[in-house]
Formats: sequence, structure tokens, C-alpha cells
Amino acid sequence: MLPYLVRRLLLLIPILLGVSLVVFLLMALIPGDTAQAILGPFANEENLTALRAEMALDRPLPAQYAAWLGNILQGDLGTAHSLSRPVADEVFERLGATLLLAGTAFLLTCLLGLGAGAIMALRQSTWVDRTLTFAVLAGISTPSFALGLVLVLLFAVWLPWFPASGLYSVTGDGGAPDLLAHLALPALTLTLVTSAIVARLMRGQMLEVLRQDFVRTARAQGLPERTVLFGHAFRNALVPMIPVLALQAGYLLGGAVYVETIFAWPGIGRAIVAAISTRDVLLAQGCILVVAAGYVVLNLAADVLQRWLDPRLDR
Amino acid sequence: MKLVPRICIGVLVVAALLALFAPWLPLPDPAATQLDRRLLPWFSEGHLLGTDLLGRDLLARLVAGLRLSLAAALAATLLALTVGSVLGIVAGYKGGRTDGVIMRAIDFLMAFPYLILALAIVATLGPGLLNGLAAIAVVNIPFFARTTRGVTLGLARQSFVEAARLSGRSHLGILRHEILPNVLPTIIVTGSTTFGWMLLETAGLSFLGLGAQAPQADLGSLLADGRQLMLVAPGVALLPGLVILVLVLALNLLGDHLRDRLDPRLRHAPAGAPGAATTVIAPFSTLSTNKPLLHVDDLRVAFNDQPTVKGVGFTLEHGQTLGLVGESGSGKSVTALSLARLVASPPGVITGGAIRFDGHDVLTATPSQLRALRGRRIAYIFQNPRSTLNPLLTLAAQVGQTLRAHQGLTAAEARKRAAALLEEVGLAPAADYLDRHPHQLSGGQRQRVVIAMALANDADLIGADEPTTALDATVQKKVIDLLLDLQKKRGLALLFISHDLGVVKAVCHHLVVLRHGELVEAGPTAEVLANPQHPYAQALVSKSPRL
Amino acid sequence: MLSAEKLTKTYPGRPPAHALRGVTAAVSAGEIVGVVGESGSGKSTLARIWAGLDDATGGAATLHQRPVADWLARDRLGFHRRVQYVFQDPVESLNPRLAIREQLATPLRLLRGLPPADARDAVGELLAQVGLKAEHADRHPHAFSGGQAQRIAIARALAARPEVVICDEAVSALDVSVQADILDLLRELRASHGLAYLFITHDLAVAAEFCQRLIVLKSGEIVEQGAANTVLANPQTDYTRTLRDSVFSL
Repeated sequence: MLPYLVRRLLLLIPILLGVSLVVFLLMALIPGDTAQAILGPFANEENLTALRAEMALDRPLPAQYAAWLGNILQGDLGTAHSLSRPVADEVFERLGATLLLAGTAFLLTCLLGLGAGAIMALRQSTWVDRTLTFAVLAGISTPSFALGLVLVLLFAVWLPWFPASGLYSVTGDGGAPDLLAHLALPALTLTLVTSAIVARLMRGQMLEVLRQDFVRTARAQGLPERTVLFGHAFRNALVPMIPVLALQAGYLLGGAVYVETIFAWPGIGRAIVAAISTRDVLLAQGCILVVAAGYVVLNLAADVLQRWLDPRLDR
Repeated sequence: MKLVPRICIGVLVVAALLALFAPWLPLPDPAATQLDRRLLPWFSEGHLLGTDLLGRDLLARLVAGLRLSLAAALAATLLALTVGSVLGIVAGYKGGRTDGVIMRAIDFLMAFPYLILALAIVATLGPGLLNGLAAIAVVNIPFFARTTRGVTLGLARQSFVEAARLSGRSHLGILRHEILPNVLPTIIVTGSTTFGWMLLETAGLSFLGLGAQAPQADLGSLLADGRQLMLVAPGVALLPGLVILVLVLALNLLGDHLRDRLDPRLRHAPAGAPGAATTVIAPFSTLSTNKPLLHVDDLRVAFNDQPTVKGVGFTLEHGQTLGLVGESGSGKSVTALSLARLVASPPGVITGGAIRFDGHDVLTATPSQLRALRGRRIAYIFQNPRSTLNPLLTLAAQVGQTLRAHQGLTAAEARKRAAALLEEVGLAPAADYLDRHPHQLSGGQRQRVVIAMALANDADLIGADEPTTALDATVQKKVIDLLLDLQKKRGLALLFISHDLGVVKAVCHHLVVLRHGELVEAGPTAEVLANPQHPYAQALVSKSPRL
Repeated sequence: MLSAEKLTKTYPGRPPAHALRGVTAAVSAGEIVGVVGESGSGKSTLARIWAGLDDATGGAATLHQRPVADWLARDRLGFHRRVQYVFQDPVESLNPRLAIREQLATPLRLLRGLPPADARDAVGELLAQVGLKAEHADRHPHAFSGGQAQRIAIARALAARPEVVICDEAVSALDVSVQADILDLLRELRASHGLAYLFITHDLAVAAEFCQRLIVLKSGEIVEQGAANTVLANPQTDYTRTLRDSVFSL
């Protein structure tokens, strides 16, 4: 296990370099003058020249990449022209809000999705399964941006239980109750969609495991049904679900975009959309880079967890 | 066809026709603004669904949006499907370095969160429907590539592909004529569900203002426009949302239906997850007055209403071995599993007969009575040692759990006892084996573990279902010697299921020959083999290969 | 006809797996050679290399003194016309989505050079040779039992009128009574077509009944070969003796 961990950590380096290269190239490939794109339409010639020198924009691409990467490794992601503040400050402030939202939704997704999936499998072909299957399909088919609006109408307008928007900062002075109240609707919106996906796949996994010989072996040993279902079936079905959950976590990081927009959540997704709309290249790049790097680490964690749970993979 | 898929097809056909003929429908110009007719309610004159903030006809805008959304999603799906499937099929079939290069590239695309990558591409190309569509298509390529590669890989390993090669087919011919027809159902199913995704995602980009740009409007832009009016006129926003939901739901339901129809494995899937014990209907209990250890009388088992065991009966005493002999489909395994009601149910149902084990009526036993019998009084050894052990648990855990369940041992006591059992079946020193997982053992060793589990609670009866069929001849010999030795030491009753008359001759005192679920011959082994009466038994004996 | 000279096959890995370690053997025209041994002894590897389905790591596998690799490079169809193969799992060896007619017409068309229409017509005759009916041709594989599917696979192998058919555990997946029928069929076909068989099996009793000559493999090496009767009646090595004594015979 330990050598594997070391190997995987070392492998992180090339993957992260590759991710950074893609993000860099996406910027470098923007048609037109890069300096102009970075500083925005109202930049003066003096600043443009200074930036070109600083970022080696008049030199070949590899040199530009090296200069760019060097800055990033020092924590300098540049300055967002649309906000006139350092990109790094903006990104990390917003990352907190996104992580809070995505993290809450992820935990709920695991509980709801895995639980519902297992129940559907155990009650296969009964009315419970049929009802949940339809609910799950409806969940998968619902555009989260429309679902969010419906929830706002229901629980913020007609039944004014929760605020529809108005969170400006995660570390504001409203305290925990205020934060939770603001979190409720966006987290619910995200959860409904992702847990539907998880439930659907978990149902399939669970059904497959329930028909495996070792479940019959467990029953033939006279083990309590609870042990058979949780200790054997659920546990074995969980292992292949780990990559699925990691994918959903990635979706929550990115898919939060819609929900953040609807609920005016000060997260990173909304920052990306705003950056694209205002053509603030550095801000978009910084946000994308940080989220992508976080996702790479998350996938590593998922791989390690899967290996740890399934000794067959540990070779 | 069932009702639901019909409705789905109906919905999709209507949507497609509306989209296709939108320009020729008798509707107002969706872009024509009429500032004096703003925000008209539903069913207004000339505006069935009312008008929006600029007085544009909502129905016309909805139909135009539908047309644009469907076109964008279709284009994105076809793009991702074609590129992804070709990559996946080639990678799966060629394997080796080609596979490595393609899949590394795909993995790399997947190193980014799905939507973030799409946003990054839009950030580069700039907002716009075409750019958004391209971005969504690119991020969906890995999905198609991985799915088709997986299926192709499974197919390429099957011998029909090699057989086609030996029949003279070229690689291209194999891809076209052998692989493609088998992958196509997967591509169609994946495509139908992905089409739904694409519809959601392209609309989503437009909702964010990054896809369709005014005056173009797809369903997502309509939703975004309507959002401003949420409080005044919720319908303006919710209607396009509802249209998307209905379309995607129809696509997903249809995709599920297609998958069930096209996947032969699912088509024959049993009706539900097997429960804890086989369902029994109509047991009877006219059982013998003399008391053999096991008495099976007129046992009947059906699968999906097809009778599989049709009235089988026999008895078995302590210390004796009874052979159940027959070919595939004879019902021998089902008969053996019925003794502890372990036949998967659904689909299996015991439809009649009686099973009495040491005074217990098995067919009317409660779940807790059954649990007390299983593993404690009646234990099993199954055929395939590769799949009968839980791959995630150590041997100590697997052997220990039955001890803990029946004897209430602590974890430490169970481990100690498990060690003794492993040594008894020849896995010594046990310390080398306790913490291993099943995949670290050979087939013969695994079968020894299964035997140790069966012995754990001093069961009186062991049902051994083809326990050595998956093993090499020399290993088979050792495992059978072990079983016979343990039987002698412990006075076990053995129910031995086999298709191999040679093994049965060496192991069983009595034998029962089954064919198509019916008992055709029974008696002492030596007598039956020397002088079989039933023509089928005669054929079995005469056709068995001899050394 | 088929021969192998110091054939080796190594699968890379840590540690590398040696499937064959210098096997020298031959199959003459018209004879039935059995290859026996336990799982992992290299029997299937040898068969696959001779059939051109795998490459050898070292040594030479030849057909009519010409290396298999050379045949495959210059006259692949000619090679497949002469050497055919029957796989262990009869169901898996047929394409589930193609009608039997299409699958049997392929070798007739590509290896025998029949025009497509004639090839499709000739399928009925081919099925009759293996004891099936001409009207079976338009069914799909799932409509057949294991024994019937294996008959179809044998028909496909025969379509090219080969000189040698390699049977890789071809009867192992079948019930005893079906097994005997298939062995009878193989014997008949050999008499009518003048075939040679390379017969791979783990079952010594089947090998004893069916084969004229035996090759005994252990961990990729030949430990013994000779006339089947002699090898089994009077084994020269402990390994062969253990193998023989492990068989539970009627």
C-alpha cells in the first residue's frame, strides 16, 4: 500500500503539469492579442507593454509557459481586470463558498443516493422500486437550473421558509444559523440531481452483487440477514461506486455553476461564468486551474480509497 | 410494446415534428416585439401561452427554442458519439499501445471536472451556441469512448472474434461484421441517454448566457429570460423548464426500455433480487415414521413457473454419502440447495413436497429456525471456489463469521478456532493464511477454505455441489481424499452432487440419477453402475470415458 | 505436417511467466495427437501458436516446413485453409448477432473462394455433415444447445477442408452423453475427410479413448510423449503416473 501511495503521489506531478499546460494553452489559443485579453479592453499601451515583458508574451510558447508556471508556483495568478484585485485572493475566497456547498451536497448525495439505490435493489420489481426508479429518472432528467427556480418559488416565495439568495460571504456575521438557512435550497437542488444518478448506478451494482455466489455462501453459513446485506452485499457494491462518487464530486464542483447563479451563491462557478462574460481571462484561468487541480487530488483520494477497500487491486 | 415507451416515442415524435416544421407553422414571428401587448396571460387572443416582457408570443418562442435546442443537442450527440465510439472500438480491438495512447488521452480529458472543461473551452472560444455545442461534445467523448471500449474489449476476448479471423476475415471485416453489430446496441442506448444530457447541458450553457446569444434563443435562454419575471409570471420561466424535463425524461425512459430490450443479459434477468430463503407454496408433511437424518419426499421446484424438479425423493443417514448424478438441467443442484432453502427466490419457488431434517420440517421453518440450521447443522461446499468466497474479506473473517454467528465466539476466539480449522483442511501453518484474501490462493486452496467453513460448526450434513469440477485432476484427488477422511472422522452425512460417474463411484454409498428434474434410477452405487436399469442410466454409464 | 522446434513463450511481467520452455513436437498427416497436462502446463499456448493465434517468443512453429509467421505474412488465407481450430466454449465461439448461415458462409467464401450465393447455399450441406438440419441455418446461436453449437463450430472448421483441426478442450464444457456423441462425430469426419487432430484436453480418460499419440506437458515442458496406450499403461515419469492415478475411472 505504501509504495503504491508514493507512486501515485509522484504521478500527481506529471498530471498536474499536464492540467496546467491545458489551462495555459486554452488561454494562449485565444484569438487576438493575449495582453489585451488579459488586461481588458480599457488597458493603456504602457500597461500592455509591461505585461508583455512580465509574461514573456513576445517570446515562444514554451518560454511563456515557463514564466506563467513560475508565477503560479509563487502563488501569483495575476490580477483580475474586471475586479481590479489579485486573482488568487478572489479564487480562494470563492473556493470556500463552493466547497461548503459542494461538500454538503456530496454528503447528502452519498447518504441519499447509496441508500435509495440499495433499497431499490432489495425491493426490486416491487412498487417501492418502481416508484423510486421513476423518481430517479425524473431527477436525472430535471435541469438543475429549472429545479432551483421551482424550489425558490416553493420555499422562498410562496412558503417563505428559506432565503432565496443574499449570501455575500461565507465568513459573514450572520453566524451558523444564517449560513445553514442560505445553504438549504442550493444544497437541496444539487443533491436531488446527483443522488438520482448515484442511486441509479448503486441499484445496478447492488443487484449484481446480490446474485453473486458469495452472498449465497453467506446465507448458507446461517449469518443474520443484516450481516448478509450490509457486511457482504452493500460493502461489495460500494467499491465500484467510489469512482462514480468521485465523478459526482467533480460534477458538484462544476455543476454548482447553475445553482450558484440561481441562488447568487458567491462560489467559484459563478466567478467563472462572470469571468467568461467579461472576458476576464486571468480570473477564468485561475478558477479553472484551482478547481481542476482539486479534482485531480480528489480522484487520487478515490483511487487510494478503492485500493484500500479492495485488496484485489493491490498488486 | 408497453405503454410507457409508446408515450415516450409519441412525445419525441411530436417534439421532432414541431421542431422540423416550426418555420411553416401558423405562429407569429417569435422575434416580433409588441410593446403594447406585454405580459399577456395564457389563452389571450392570438397568444395561446401569452406574451413575454417585450410582447413576443411565448408559444412561438417556445417552438423556436425547441427547434434550436434539439438541433444543438443532436449535433453535439452525433459529434461525441462518432468520435468517441470510433476511438473506443479501435482502442478496445487493437489493444496494446494503441489502446494505451487513446485511453491516456481520454483519461486526461477526464482529469477535469466535466462542466469545468466545457466552461474552459467556452472561455477560449468565446460564448456562442456553436462554441458551447462543441465544448459539450468534447467533454462527452470520454463517456462514449470508455463505454464502447469496455464492450469491445469484452467482445474481442471472446473466441468468436478469433474464429472469424480463422475464417479468413480481415481486421476491418471483423470490426465491421463481427464487432460493430454487437456494439451497436450499446451505442444506441448510450446515445439516447446522452442526447438527454446534451439537451440539459446545451440549455444550461444558454441559461448561463454562454450558449445561444440574443436574438437566438433556445430553451435555456428562454428560462434565463423568464427568470427575471419569476415573481410576476412564473409560467414564463417554468414552461421551458417543463419542456426540457419532459423531453429528457422521455429520452431516458426510452433509453432504459431500449437497454432492457437490447441487452440479452437483462432480458433474461430474474424478476427480483433473491431473498433470504426460497419461497415455499403448498408443502405437505406426511413423513415417514422411521427417522432418517434427511428425508426428502416428492420435492417440486419451479423457476418462473417452469417445473425444474418434478417430484424427487430420497433419504440419507449419518455417515453415509448419497450421490446426486445427472447432466446440466437435471435439477441436481436445485435439489441440493432446496435442503436449506437456498434456491434463489425469485425466480425459484418450491411448489410442493416435504423435507425433514433431523426432526425439523425445513419447508415450514421460520427464518430464524432456518438460520439456526444453515451453517450449523446443514453446510455447503459450492462448485466454483473463485466466486463462493467474498473477495474483500480475509480468510479469518470468512471462517470466523459463521463461528461468531452460531457459537457466539468473540473475534479473538473465532480467529483461534478458524486457525485450527484451516490447519485441519491442510492449510498449515494457519498463521500464513489467516490474513490472506481469496485472490491470493490457488483454486484448490480456496476450496479447502470453503470446506473449513462448512466444517466450522460441526454440521451433520454437508451438501457438496460439484466441489471438485473446477479443479485439476491431481488437486481433485487431494480434495476428495480430504473430504472422505473428514467424513470418516466426524461421521458426516454427505450429499455429493456430480456429473462425473468416476468420482461418484469412488465417493458415494448410494446414488440417485436425475434427468430433466425426474428421478430415473436410485440404489447402491455399485449395483447401479454394474447393472443400470433405466435406458438413460445405461447411456450415462456406457458413454462415460474410461481410462 | 505441423511441427515445433524448441518453442518458447514467455509473458512479460514480474516475474515473467514461462508458458512454454522449449517444446519440440510434431503432428503428422491424419493422426490424432493428444496434449494433456494440468492448468498452466502450456497446452493451450502450444495450440494457439500452432494455429497462428499467438506469437512464440523463441523457437519455430512450422506447417509443411514453413514458419507459421511466414505463412501469416504471405499467405494468411492459405494457412487458415489448412489449419483450423475448435474452441472450448461453443456458445462463445459463435457471434451472437449473426445467423448461422452468415457465420458458416464466411470461410466458404473467403477460404474456399466460393461466390457469395454459392457459399450461402452450401451451408445446408455443411450442417448435414455434422448431423444438423439445413433449416437450422437461418437461426441465431442462442437457439442451440451447447452440443449443437459445438457441432456448428466444427462445421465452420471443416468448411475450409483443412488438413488439421486443433481442438482446444473442445468437449470439456459438454455433458458426458453429448461429449461421447461429439467424439463419435469427430471420428467419422476424420474417416471421411482424412483429417489430423491436435486434441488438447485436461481429461486423461477422454484422451485415452480418443487419441493415438499423447504429449504430456508440465509447466511448459514435455515430460513424456508416445503412443497413448504405452504412455498410460506404463508411464515413464512420476508426473504422468500421478496424473493417471488421479483419475477416478468407472
